[in-house]
Amino acid sequence: MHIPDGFLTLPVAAATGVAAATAVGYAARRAGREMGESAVPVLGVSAAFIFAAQMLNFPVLAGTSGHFVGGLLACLVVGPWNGVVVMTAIVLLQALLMGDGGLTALGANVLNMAVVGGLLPWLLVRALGGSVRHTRTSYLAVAGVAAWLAVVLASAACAVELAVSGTAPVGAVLPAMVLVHSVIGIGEGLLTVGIIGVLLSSRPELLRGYPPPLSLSPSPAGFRKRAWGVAVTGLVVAVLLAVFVAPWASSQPDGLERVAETQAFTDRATDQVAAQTPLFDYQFPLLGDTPWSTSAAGAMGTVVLFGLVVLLGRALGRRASPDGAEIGHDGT
Amino acid sequence: MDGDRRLPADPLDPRARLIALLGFVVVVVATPPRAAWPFLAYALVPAFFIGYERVSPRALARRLLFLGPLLLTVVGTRLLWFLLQHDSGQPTLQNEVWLLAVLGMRSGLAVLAVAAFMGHGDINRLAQGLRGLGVPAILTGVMEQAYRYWRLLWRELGLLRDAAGARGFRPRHLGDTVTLGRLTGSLLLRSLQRAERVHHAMLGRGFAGTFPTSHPLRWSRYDALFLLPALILPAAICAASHLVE
Repeated sequence: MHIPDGFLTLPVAAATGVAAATAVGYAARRAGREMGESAVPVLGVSAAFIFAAQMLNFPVLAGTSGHFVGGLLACLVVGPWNGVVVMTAIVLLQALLMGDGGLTALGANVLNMAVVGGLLPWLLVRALGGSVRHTRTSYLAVAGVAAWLAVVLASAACAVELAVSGTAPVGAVLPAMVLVHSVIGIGEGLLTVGIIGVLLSSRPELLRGYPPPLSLSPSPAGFRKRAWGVAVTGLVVAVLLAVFVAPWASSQPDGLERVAETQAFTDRATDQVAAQTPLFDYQFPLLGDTPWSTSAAGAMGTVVLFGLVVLLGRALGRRASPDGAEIGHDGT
Repeated sequence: MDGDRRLPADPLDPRARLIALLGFVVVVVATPPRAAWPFLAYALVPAFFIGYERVSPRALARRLLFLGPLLLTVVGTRLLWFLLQHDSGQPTLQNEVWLLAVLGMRSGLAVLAVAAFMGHGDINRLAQGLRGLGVPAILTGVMEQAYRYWRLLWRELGLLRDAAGARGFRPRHLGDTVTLGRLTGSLLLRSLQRAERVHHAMLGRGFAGTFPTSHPLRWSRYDALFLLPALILPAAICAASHLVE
């Protein structure tokens, strides 16, 4: 992913350099303001960690391996602006002392790994994360998918820069880079999930750029509140589906009915018992054979089923805890 | 003897090293890909400094290896494209090979220049030079800290992997990456705890955001003697290559 010198033309190098300098200049100002320059050691050791982790190869396909990039992880752990500073410091260090990544390509590399591969997916995490990260699994899934996307986006940006410079034809280099990095991105995503999972279990407060939601805090009251929120939202969605979508259900026979028709045993079905039930054939008794009758029957059935499941859940919960104490999500 | 007047172990101003490196690389990249002789002539400059600085061949080879993955990608995609487009008669194999050779020469020369001009990597002087050229202090500070600690963390990661290996863990496929991630995550936890300790220790010693340097930046005749071959000579070669064409 590190572009060496000579792969980009000077105009492309200059354009990416100006874009990267603007982004890094702004990030450095914000980072200084947010944490203060006396927090340099914290950022420095975080950068050292990402630097060391970048040398970690993981198996990708038979005989091949990929390595960690860490742009998104930096933003998730130390915050977006600090993350950009951390990644820029790493890329600069690699270019000046190791010869990994070129000096004229420094702007492009910073743009790819710190901005496109760090800040951009972090913005996506912030936009999407708020609505879906209510459980540990969904929280980690958002981080993992965003980490995968970070690598793919960065590789696409790298391919476009190479193509604009005339180094490689876009029709060949873009699919090649995106395809290979789609696989490498899976490793990045899994590594990110593993790392964030450890932080989430031990020190969730360290995730400054991606704070865990209340439901993942140790408070059982917060968890119960969130669980009820999810349940009621699910009930509302189910009732809306029953009211507005159910009347449009297909009138064609379902699989069993079709088989019954073709095998000529439809007439053996009897409705004598079912006809005594209050919502027989999805019809509400007071509304007759109309679409609204189906809606009302669907809504009523949904609410009754929800109530039964809640009652059953509470009964089973009490049985699991003989002293009557309710069990929190963390087992306490 | 006045502390400010002492010469550092490296008599060169780090800004001179950085300017020479950037200038050399820009000149090499700006040279039109028409003939091989300018690139061969450029190679003499880093070769001289590599010899003078006694950079080990192993360190050189390690740096050149970094070029591998992307160079192979570009070679592969260009050759594939060439085979697909060959019937239309647009590119010729000779052109393709020459363009790839130029890419290799340019990137190889840049890597040699890093080895030649950055000396043996005194991170404090390098950061001082970058600050002197206007790079934000927070960025150079993070760089210095990262350089000091990355080897330590890499060793610790190695120990963690060894411990996992002793328990029978051998990462063979992509699914093992989550376990690898958990190992790395525990290292991140330790790193952040270490960072907090380092931070408090540094605050206790009076750290206020900038690292003190024992040698102030000052241009000297050594810098002029260094910049003359390191920068003026390649610029002259580049100009000559334009004139010859």
